[in-house]
Amino acid sequence: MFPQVEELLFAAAVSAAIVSSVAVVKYRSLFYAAVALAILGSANAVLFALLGFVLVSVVQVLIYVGATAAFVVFAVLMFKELPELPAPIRATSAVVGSAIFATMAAIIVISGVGTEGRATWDVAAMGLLAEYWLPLLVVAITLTAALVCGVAIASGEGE
Amino acid sequence: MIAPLYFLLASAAVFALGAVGIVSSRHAVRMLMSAEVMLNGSLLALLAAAATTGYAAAPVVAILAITLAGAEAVTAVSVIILLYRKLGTLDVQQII
Repeated sequence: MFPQVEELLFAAAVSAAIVSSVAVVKYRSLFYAAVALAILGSANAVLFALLGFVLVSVVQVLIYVGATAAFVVFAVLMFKELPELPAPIRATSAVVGSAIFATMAAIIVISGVGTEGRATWDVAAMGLLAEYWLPLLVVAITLTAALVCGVAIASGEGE
Repeated sequence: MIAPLYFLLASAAVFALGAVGIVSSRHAVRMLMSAEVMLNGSLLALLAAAATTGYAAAPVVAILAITLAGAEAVTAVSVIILLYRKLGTLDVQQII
């Protein structure tokens, strides 16, 4: 990939991820917050691909954005919004968030992790199919069972 | 090539925003979505760190985590729907 295109993609994806994270937290409408969550998943998928993990990026789009976010988007249509919390609590949460970011950024910069390197995705694909096929199978069954159980729980069966 | 350091910083920002969402809301669905935001930040951090260290199993862990997160979100939303039908509210302070 051309370096400038890569940098532009990175800037766009990071901007989309941060703006959609703010939207999930701050949007009054739950529906639009859920849509923002789907956008965050897509932006994350672009970042995964830029890191060299194309397979993880595809899984993120297929499972996280395609299934989970779509499910949440339709589910939140049933709910009502609550009134906003008082300003002191919102201010406290902003302080907490800033403290978390500052701490994590300091740890990342001081530890020197992430200064160079690039992964290849074929290693992950081969590992998943050759060495980790049983966890993959279990996870696939778990996801299917969770979807079926989710419908059963929401419909209140067994009461 | 973009250094994974910038990905790690972006993941820290996304994680912190998710934490703000959990602290600043009493709505069960919004708290769940904020936890999902934090999960996205964590996944990005995992893969950015793996790109540096060359830890080969990291993408496998990420794929399993994405799938389990999907299962968890679906189940949690279903439980929230049931709670809403039974209690008529999603205010976690009233539910507790």
